[in-house]
Amino acid sequence: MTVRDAPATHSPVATGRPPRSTSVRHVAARVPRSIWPLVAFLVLFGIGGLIRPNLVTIDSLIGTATFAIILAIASFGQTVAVIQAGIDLSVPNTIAFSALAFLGLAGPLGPTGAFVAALLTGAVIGFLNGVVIAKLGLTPIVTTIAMNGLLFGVILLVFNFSELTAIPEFVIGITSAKVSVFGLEMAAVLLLGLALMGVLQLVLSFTGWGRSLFVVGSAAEAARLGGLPVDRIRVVGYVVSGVLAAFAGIVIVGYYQQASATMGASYLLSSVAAVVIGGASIFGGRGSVVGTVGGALVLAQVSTLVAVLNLGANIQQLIYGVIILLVVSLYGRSATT
Amino acid sequence: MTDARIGAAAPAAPVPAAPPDGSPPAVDALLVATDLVKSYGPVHAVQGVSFRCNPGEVLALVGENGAGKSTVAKMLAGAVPPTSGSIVVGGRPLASGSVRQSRQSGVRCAFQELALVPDWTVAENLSLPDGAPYRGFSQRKSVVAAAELLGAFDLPHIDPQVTVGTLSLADRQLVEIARALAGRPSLLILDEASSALTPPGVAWLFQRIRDLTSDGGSVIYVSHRLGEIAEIADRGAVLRDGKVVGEFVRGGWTDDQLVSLMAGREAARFFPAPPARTTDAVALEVTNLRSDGVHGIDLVLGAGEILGIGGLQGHGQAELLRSLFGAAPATADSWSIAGRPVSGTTPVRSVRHGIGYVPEDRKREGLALEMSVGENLLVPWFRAYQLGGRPRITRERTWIDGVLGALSVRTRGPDERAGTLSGGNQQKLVFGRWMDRARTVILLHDPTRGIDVRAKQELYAAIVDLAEQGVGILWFSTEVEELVHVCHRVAVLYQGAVIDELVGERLTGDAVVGASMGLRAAA
Repeated sequence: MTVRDAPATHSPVATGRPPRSTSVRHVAARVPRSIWPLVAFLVLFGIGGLIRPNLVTIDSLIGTATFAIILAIASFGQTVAVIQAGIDLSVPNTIAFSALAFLGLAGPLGPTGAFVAALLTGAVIGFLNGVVIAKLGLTPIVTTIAMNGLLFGVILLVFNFSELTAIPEFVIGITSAKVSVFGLEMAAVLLLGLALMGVLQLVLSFTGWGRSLFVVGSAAEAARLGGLPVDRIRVVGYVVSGVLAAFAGIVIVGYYQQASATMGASYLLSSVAAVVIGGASIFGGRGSVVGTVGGALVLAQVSTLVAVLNLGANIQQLIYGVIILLVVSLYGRSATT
Repeated sequence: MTDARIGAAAPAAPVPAAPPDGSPPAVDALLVATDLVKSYGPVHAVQGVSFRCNPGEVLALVGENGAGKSTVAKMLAGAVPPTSGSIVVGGRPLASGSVRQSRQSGVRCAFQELALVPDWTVAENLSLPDGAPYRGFSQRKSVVAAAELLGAFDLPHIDPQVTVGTLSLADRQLVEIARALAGRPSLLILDEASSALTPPGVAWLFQRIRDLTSDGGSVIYVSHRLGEIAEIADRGAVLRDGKVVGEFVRGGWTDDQLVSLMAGREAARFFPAPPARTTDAVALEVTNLRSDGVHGIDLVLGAGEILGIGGLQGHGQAELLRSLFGAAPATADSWSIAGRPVSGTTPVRSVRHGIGYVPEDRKREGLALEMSVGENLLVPWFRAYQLGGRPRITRERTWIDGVLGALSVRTRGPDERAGTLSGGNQQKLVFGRWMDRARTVILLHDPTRGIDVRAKQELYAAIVDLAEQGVGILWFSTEVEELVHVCHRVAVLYQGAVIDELVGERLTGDAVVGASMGLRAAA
C-alpha cells in the first residue's frame, strides 16, 4: 500500500505541469495503453516473417492467437486482481482444481451441473482469498500463494487421476471444435475468448462496480473516505478472479483434452506477465482485459519465435524476463511524462 | 500592541541587522540566517526570514501552525534545502540540503515527529546514525556506550536494550533529545521536542540546555508552550505566514502580547460572513464522544450552522472528524444524525445518512489521481449495479458542470486526469463531490491548507453557500482568521477535549490562539 502511494506523496512540489515534450511523444501519450501490446505483437510477427517468411500466413496467425487466447482467459482473473492493487497467485491451482473437479463431477452431476460446480469452487476460492485480504488485512501476495499451496495439497488428496478421461461434448464444442468465420477455420475457443474479453471490458469500463474497482486500486483510502464499500468491492473482485480462473481450467481441459495436478503451473508467471505487458500497473488502478489479450499475444508470439528458432525453453524464460523489464520501465517512464 | 516590537532591546521590525550577503558575519554570532526563502511550488512556506543566534544563547521561534517554524528548523538542520538565502554557522556557510554536512558543522536537531526507528533498540538508535557504515557494529559495545550516554545525561530509567517502539512517547522523545545531545553540538535545534514531555521531563531538558549553553553552545527552541519559553528563552522571534513579525527578549513580554503577534492583526479583507441562520433544526448531535485521541467531546451542530474547530494540530481535531464520519472507531453516550439516533457509524453508512467528509490529505485520502476529474467527483455515488465510467459522466454532465462551474475548477473537462490539476483545484474536487447531493452535515479537515488565495475565496463562498442551503458544517481549520470570520461558533480543542467554546463577542483571534495554548480566557 505504501509503495503505491509513493509517487503521489513524494512530489508535493509538482503542480501537475507536464514537462515539454516532442510532438512524437505527445502523440504517443494519447494512444490508449492497450494498443501498445498489439503494436508490439505486430512488430514481433514481422520479425518472425523476416526470419522465416513462411511464418507470415493466416494459419500461423490463428495458431498463435489461439494459444494466446487461452493464456488470456487464464489471465482475465489476474487482471481484475491487479486492477484493485492485488494479485492472484492462486490462479494455477484454481485452474487445476476446477478442471479436475469438473471432470470428476461430470459423471455424477452431468456436464452442466459439473460446469456450475467447477465455477462455484472458483468462487469459493476467490471468496476465501478476498475475505482474508480485505477483512484480515493480509498481503495479497502471501495470501494467494498460501492458497495456491493449500489447493495443491487438496488436489493431491482428493482426486483419483486414473478416472479422469471422458471430456463432456459441450466443452469440446466451445473450445477445440473448429468453426468457420469468413471462410477461415479456427478453434471455437478464439471466439469464446474474444467474447469474454468484450463482456469483461464493458463491465470494467462502464459499470459502477468496475469503476469502483479502479478507485479502490488507485487509492484505497480515498475510496473508503468517499464512502465506497471497499471490503465488499475487494471480495467481489477476488470472487470474480477465482471464477474466471476456474472457467479457464475448464477451457484448458476442453482444448488440450487432458488434466493433471500441475496443469496450471505455467500460468503462475505468464498470467502476471500478460497483465503487466497489457499495460496494467502492478500497483493497481490501471489495466484492461483488452490489454491483457495483447500481452498474451506478445508472449505467444515470443514462444512461437523461440520454438521456430529452436532456442529451447530456458531462452524463452529469459526473453520473457527481458520483455517484462522493458515493458515495466517503458510504462513507468510514460507515467511520469 | 500594534507594533511588532516587544521589549527594550529588540531592533526594528522586520528585524535583525543581518550582514549583507558576502560580508563576514559578526564575530560573535554562532548562527546567522539571512533572508531564508522556501517555496513549495506556489506555496511560500518561508518568505525572507533572517535572524542570528549568539553563543551561549537560547533563541525561541514561536508562531502558529504553518507559520514556517518547522520549515526554518529543517533548513537549519539541512533536511530541507532553502530556495534562497544563506545560513552561516560559526563563520562558515552551511552546505544546504545535507543533514550529514550540517551535523559535521556541529548542528544537531531533535524533531517533533520522532526520527527514531521504532523496531530498533535504544542502543541501536543511539549508535547507528553516527556509526559510519564501513565501521563494524557490535551489539555489546553499543549497549555499553548507550548505557554510559544515558547515565551521563541522567536518564538511568531507560533500558538501552528495549526496542524504541515499546517506550512511552515521552521516553522516546527523551531518547531523541539524548541522541541529538550525544553529538556534543554547538547548535542544538529542538523542534517541538518537548511536546510529549511531562513537567519533570521538561525540567530535565532545561537542565541539559543550561549545561550546553554554559559550555558556549546555542539552542534554537521551537515551541508552542509559552510557559517554557518564558523560562528558558533568552531571545525569541515570532513567525507568521513565513515571515518574522516581531522579536522579544527575556522578561520583556507577556503571553497576551505574543499571542496577538502570532495571531496577527490583519483585517477581515477576504472573508465572507456566515449566513444568518433560519432554522433551529439540529444536524448532528453527540455527547461524550470517545475515540483514540478524543476524550469525551459534546457537540451540537445546527442545520445551516458553520461550527469551527480550532486548536493546535494534534489535539484531537483529525480524530474527531474521522470519528464522526466513522473512519475511526468511536463510542458516544448518545449520537444522532439529523435527529435520527445512531449507535455508531461507518463511512458507507455516513454517506447514506447524509454526511460528507473532506479529509486532510487530498492526494492520499481524497482523490484517485489516476482517474478522471468526473469520476473523482462521482466516487461516493458509484453503485455496483449502476452505470459507471463515460456513460455515467454523460448522464451526470449537468451536475458535474454545475460543480466545476460553482467552484471555478480550472480543468480541461471531466475527462482530464485528476492528478494533473493543481493542489487548489484538487481540493475543490474533494469538496465538490458533496455539493448539491442532499447532505445534512459536511465535515471539513482544513480544506484551505496550502492552496492559493483565489482558491480559498472560492471555497469560502461555496461553504457559506452550503450553509445557506441548510447544511451543517463542521470545519477544522488551522487558520485562525477563517474560524473567526466565517464561523458562527468555534470550539477549541486542547488535548482531545473542548477547552473553550467561543461565540459572539468572545470569538476573536486572540481568544482562539489563547485557548489553543491551553489558556482559558476570561469573558
